[in-house]
Parts: sequence; C-alpha cells; structure tokens
Amino acid sequence: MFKDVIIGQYVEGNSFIHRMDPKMKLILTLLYMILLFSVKSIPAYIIATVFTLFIVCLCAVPFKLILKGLKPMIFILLFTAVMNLLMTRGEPLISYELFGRFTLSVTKEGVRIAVLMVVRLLYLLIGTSVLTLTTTPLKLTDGIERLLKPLDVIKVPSHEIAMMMTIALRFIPTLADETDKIMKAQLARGADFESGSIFRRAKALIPILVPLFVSAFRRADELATAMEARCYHGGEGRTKMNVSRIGSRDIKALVIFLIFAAAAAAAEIIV
Amino acid sequence: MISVRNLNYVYGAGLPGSRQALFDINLDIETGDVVALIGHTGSGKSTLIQHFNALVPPTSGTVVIDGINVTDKAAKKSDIRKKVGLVFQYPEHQLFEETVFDDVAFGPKNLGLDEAEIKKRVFDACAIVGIKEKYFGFSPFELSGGQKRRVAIAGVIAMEPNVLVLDEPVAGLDPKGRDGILAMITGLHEQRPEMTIIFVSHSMEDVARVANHIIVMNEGSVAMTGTVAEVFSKGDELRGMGLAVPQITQITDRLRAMGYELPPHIYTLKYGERAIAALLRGEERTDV
Amino acid sequence: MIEIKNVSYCYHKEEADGRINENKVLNNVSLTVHEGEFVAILGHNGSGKSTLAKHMNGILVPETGDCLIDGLSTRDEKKLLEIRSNVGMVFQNPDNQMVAAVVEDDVAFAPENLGVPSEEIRRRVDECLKIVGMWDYRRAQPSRLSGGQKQRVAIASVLAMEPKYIILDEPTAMLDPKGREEVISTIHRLNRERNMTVVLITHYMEEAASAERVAVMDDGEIILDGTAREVFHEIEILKNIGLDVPQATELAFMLREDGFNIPHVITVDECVQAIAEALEVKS
Repeated sequence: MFKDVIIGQYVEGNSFIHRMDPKMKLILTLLYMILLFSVKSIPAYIIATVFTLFIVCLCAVPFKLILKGLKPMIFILLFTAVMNLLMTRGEPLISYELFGRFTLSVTKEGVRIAVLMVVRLLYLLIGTSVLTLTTTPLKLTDGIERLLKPLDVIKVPSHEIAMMMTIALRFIPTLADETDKIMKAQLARGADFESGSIFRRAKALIPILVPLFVSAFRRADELATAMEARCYHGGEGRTKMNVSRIGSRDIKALVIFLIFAAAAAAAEIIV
Repeated sequence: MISVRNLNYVYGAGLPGSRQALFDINLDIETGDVVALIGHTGSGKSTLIQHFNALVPPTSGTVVIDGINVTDKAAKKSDIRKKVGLVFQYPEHQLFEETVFDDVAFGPKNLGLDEAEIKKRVFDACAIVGIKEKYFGFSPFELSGGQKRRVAIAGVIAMEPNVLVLDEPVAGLDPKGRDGILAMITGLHEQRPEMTIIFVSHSMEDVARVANHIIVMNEGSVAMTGTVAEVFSKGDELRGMGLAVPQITQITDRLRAMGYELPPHIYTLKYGERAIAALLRGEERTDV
Repeated sequence: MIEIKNVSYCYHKEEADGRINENKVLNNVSLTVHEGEFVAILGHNGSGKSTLAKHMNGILVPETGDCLIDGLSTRDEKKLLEIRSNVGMVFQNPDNQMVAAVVEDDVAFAPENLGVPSEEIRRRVDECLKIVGMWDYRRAQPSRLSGGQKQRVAIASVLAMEPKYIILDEPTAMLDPKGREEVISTIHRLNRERNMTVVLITHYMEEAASAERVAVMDDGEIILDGTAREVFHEIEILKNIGLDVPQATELAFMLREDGFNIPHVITVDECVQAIAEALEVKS
C-alpha cells in the first residue's frame, strides 16, 4: 500500500544534484514552485519545460522511478483537469444541458487552463520528486531545521519540527508492516473489510485501528525512554555528524536557476 | 487431514527484487496430530502457515484441508477461516475490544453464530486457555502479558477450527508463561483430540514436550519430517541447520558414543534420568 | 562502580474508583556492580528486574535509598547527562529504540546529543559499528535488518557515548536463537576485550549461565547473588519461583535425589564427565 509513495525513497547517487547542500536544494525547490505559478505564457512554459528536463537529466535518477512516484497523484491531476475544463467561462466548444437547467460547457479557455494547470502540477511533482530522490530524509530534515533556525526568534520550534519529521520517516515502514500484520490477524479471525456499506466498512476498521494506536503509543513511550537514555535533551548544545555548507556548487546551481527564471520573466513581458 | 502438494511461493512475483520463499513443499498432516514446525527465521515457516488459511495465495501448488482446496481462488474465504484458525506471533497485539468477553467473541460473531452459541463458545475457549470468568468484564489491556496472550488465543479457539495453527506461541514469555502456554496446548489436545494442532517453535525442549511430529524447514524447503524421535536422532544434521537438540539428548548421545548402553530416542528429562539411573544401578537395559 | 543502596520503588496506579493503588516493585534492594564485571540479573516478568535496570541510569529515581554511579547520585539532576553518557542502556524491542532511518545516523544520535565535535562523531560511529560487526550495513535502513542485527546496532548506538557501563534490559527476548547468539557473543566480547562492565537483564538461564556473576530477583528482592555455579546450585529455589536451570544441572540434581553420587554441574560437558565417572567407579 505504501510502496508507491515516493517520499523518503532516496536513491543512492553521486550526481551534481545529489551533492548539493540540502538547504540550497530546498530554497531552489521553493523558488521553482514560485516560478511555475507565476508563468502564464506559452514561451515561458517552454523555458520551464527545458529547465525541468535539465534537472531530471542532471539528477541521474532513472526517469521510470520518477514516473512511478507520480502514479498515486494521477487522481489529483485528473481532478484538476476536469474541474478546470468545466468551470472556466468563455467561448464554449461543447455544451451539454443538465436536467434542463444547468449548462455544462467546455470552453476554449477551459482547455487552455486545464492543460497549463496539469503541466504546472506535473512539473511541480517532478521537481519535488527530484528533491526527495536525491536527498536522504535525514539531510532533508536537517536542511529544514537549518532554514527554520532564524525563526527561533519568533518561537518557531525548528529543532522539534525536524526531530518529529525524522522520527515519522523512521517509523513509516515499521507501522506499515504492523498494519499489514494486524490486518492479516483480524482476517484470520473472520473480519471482513471489503463488503457492506461505507458505514459498515468504516466500522470494520476498528479492529485494525485500535491495536495500531495501542502499539503506536507503546512505541512512542519506549522510544522516548530510549532517547532519554541516550542523553537526548532537546536541540540545545547538539552537534551534527554531517555538517554541510553552501559551497560553490550551490552558488552555481542558484545562478543557473536565476538565468532560467530571468529568461521566463523576459518571455512573459515580451508576450 | 492437510495435504500440501508442490507448493511454491515467490514474494513480489514478476517484479524486480522478487525472492522465492517456498520451494516445492510437499507435506501430509494427519487429523488430530500435534505437529511442531521448526527452522530459523527466514526458513519459510510463517509464509507456509499463512497459506493454510488463504492469507497468501501460492505462486503454484495446492493446499487441501479436509477435502477443501484452500488455494483455489474460488473457495469461500470464510469457509476456510472457519476450518483453520491462525494465531499470529504476539497475538496480544491484535486485542481491541472493550472487554475480554467481547474480544473472544469477535471471531464467533464474524462466523454469524447466534448469541447463545457465541456465549457457549467464549466460555469453552476461556476455560481451555485458563481465563477465569471474573476477567470477562475486564478490559483486555488491563491484563498481564501472559493473560493477554491467552485471551488472544482463546479468540481463535472460540471459532472452533478443525486445524489450529500457532506461530511461535511462547515468544517473549518467561519460563512460567511459556510452561503455561505449553500446558494449555497439551490440555487442548486432550480435550479436543480431533483438532489438528500445528505450532511454530525455536526451542527443541518445548517441541519435545508437546509435539508428536516435527517438520523441519530450512531455506524455504522441508528438510525433515517425522516423529520427534526420528527427527531428534539426526542431531548432526539439525546442528548443520543452526538448530540444536535438547541438552538431555546431547548428554545421552555422548554417553552412548562412549560405549554405554542407553536406549535410543531420549529427548525428555524424565525419561533420560530414568534410563541413566537404571544404568547406574547396573540394571539390564530396559526400554522404559 | 554502580552502587544500589536500599532502593525501594512503587508504581502508582489510579483505580477506577479513584483510589491510588501502590504496587511495590523494588523492596529495599542493594547491589554493587564493580568495574569490569559481567553480571546477569535473572528473574521472571514482574520480578522487578527491569525497574532495577532503569534505576542504573537515572530513568527512574529511587523512592527511598540511593543509586550511585561512580559516586554520583541519580537524584542530582545536574549530573544526569554525565551519568547517562557513562551508563549505556539497550532495551528489549529493537524497533523502538532507533531514532533515525539510516543505521549510521542512529549511531550518531547519542554523541550528537552530547555535543561531540563532528569529526569525532564520525570516528566513533565507524569504530562502534566495526566493534559490533555492522559496519557493512552503515547505510542500511533499520527496517531491512534482522532482529539480531538491529540489536547490534542498538549496542553500537550506546557504545558511541563511550560509556563505562552497559546495561541490557532483556535484549534477546524478542529474537530467534541465531539473533540471541549474535547479541550475547557481542556483549561477551565487549566485556572480555574492552573490559566493559556489563549488566545483562534476562529470563533465559542459558544467558545467565554464561555470566561470571548472577543475581536472582523475585518479587522486588534479590534472593540469590553469586557465581553462576553457586546460583544454579539452588535448583529448588529457582524452580519455586518459576525459573529454569540448564537441563544438565537438573539431570545431575535428579540423579542426586535418587541417591547417586553425582556432583553439581552446569554444562553438558561436565554432566557427561560426571556420569561417566560414576559409571567407571561402579564397574
């Protein structure tokens, strides 16, 4: 059930992107998102496409793997496409009378926006996949912690947020295994998760959810004791085994991105 | 009667990184037998027993239990699960109801039985595992570790299966808890002689106390089958698979190798002690 | 030196009717563990052995009595980090003591908490993983490891604090025989080769039999304390409180009860030799 979820599915590698500082990768991913949502014209889209293909080639992760990670998102993409197709006003291409009162129509503008919206989301997913596929979860949380650090002044608990993410990532496979085990055990006791109304099916989940929560609490309790025993006392005075610094590679990446961004901006203005 | 024929199972068949867990398993288990399934982790024991109640579909081969082909996709899962009760490792981790009674009743309820029958079965099952009536209203989470496990096992016994399969029923228990569960298995066999009991274990001492037959698994294949005596007489082969015979068998084997006349097939302490005592008294060898 | 002096401890549990139920788990326990010793604490579930272990690094603080680690009291909160970095603790469930999703990051966790400089952490992580034989798995995810491997990583994770003492609270209860063997041989090696002081909490008598000293707990008290040979001699006491003795020991005991002159033994070798000798004498 969880095998298609790509978050945390780091792929070992030694590419330019693998070796970048996680902080810079996070900043660039954010800037890339902003860029994707600001471009509107076709030429600017082409520039974004070239940039996306560029990073996909540069990250040295098999394209098939990136596509596999997109699979669970297909529904969201389709939903976006359909909503945009039907909800955009403009010059109708096809119309359909519904109950004689509503008119459903697909407009020329609708098609355009739907296509652009899907492309935008697709690139966004590819971009974030490249981030998670080339960065170990620990480096990622570490990067988030460092980026949030300045916000400590306004009482944002950056260390705690990062620690929570680390533990969550660590326990996802464990809890997925456990869910599978409990489910099989209840199936063996004759539980039925597949038939009946939605209400009945939701009720049928209780024999899975209760043991899962009980176990999660027990694990949390034991983990807390184990962390305490290993001298955990919050983020104060903590050091790190791997310290990454922003280097010339990261500056280079930033400059390349800014060139593309400038080109996209120029294209917007000219068109 | 359980017969397994040419059973193969491949994890993630057809995908990269697939791994074969079971290789051409052939087995026959008689009705009413008590069988121990031994082998180290990864030998395929857990995968095999999950085939017995259709939780895992085989890659090829069949498992037929009392005339029903449980590996047939068309077979009704509820019929199979009525026939074969499976108690997982650490079964106390699946307790979920508010009271002990309700938790034990969960299986029988799923079978669609009427109130009176459910009640009768809960009482019977709890009597077998030694959970007293005064605990019926307790939350299962209030009980001790050993008691929780008994309640969980009762939940499967209450479904009155023809075949009861227990995956490492004594894992993690202390000697007292372990002795209690082993005695429960022996008691169950006496009360329900027609029920076939299969249990997975790592401990040869435990196996010697409870089982009639042994199936030894090694790297996804059946390495040996036979009576306890037959299997324990192959101490060297067992050691080769990372398994050891009970200490008492090691001791009597070595005394026999030194030329002392001891009867074969010693694997319980009581029997071994009687044989050695007889030898020390200078009595003629008596196959006690 | 770990000194436990007259320690008592109660768990308080609130009953449904609001009454507070006091459950005494440690009753005036005293125990001293010297440097370099390998002590096994044997007892059944609920005997108080885990509670005692949790006192040794200040996870629990005694209600009455004192617990001193190299003279530092676990009551002194300012010294708690120093105590914990000196007394490493490995727990029963290997899954619930790993913090990070990669083996080497998990081993780095404790020294990171202690503020050790980066290069030094790297050195310790590599060294500790090599000691437990898990260096080849340094980039692996814990969920891909066997139980025995996970526990060895857990041992490396506490070794990275460079402690003087290591307490293991039923580290093998959830493992198969192979995993148990891996863990037990690893801690014996630590004790032998690195002079690490080891306290092993267990209910497996085979594991206790391999320790130089065994303390037996029952009902919150230490009822026996001595060498493994001495402790297993008290076969009736052990059986009474629901603990096992090695079959070899029990066989010799049963033969003695039947009037034969068989000495107390604790291993298969000794047992075979003793019976053979008795048979020689007879003939």
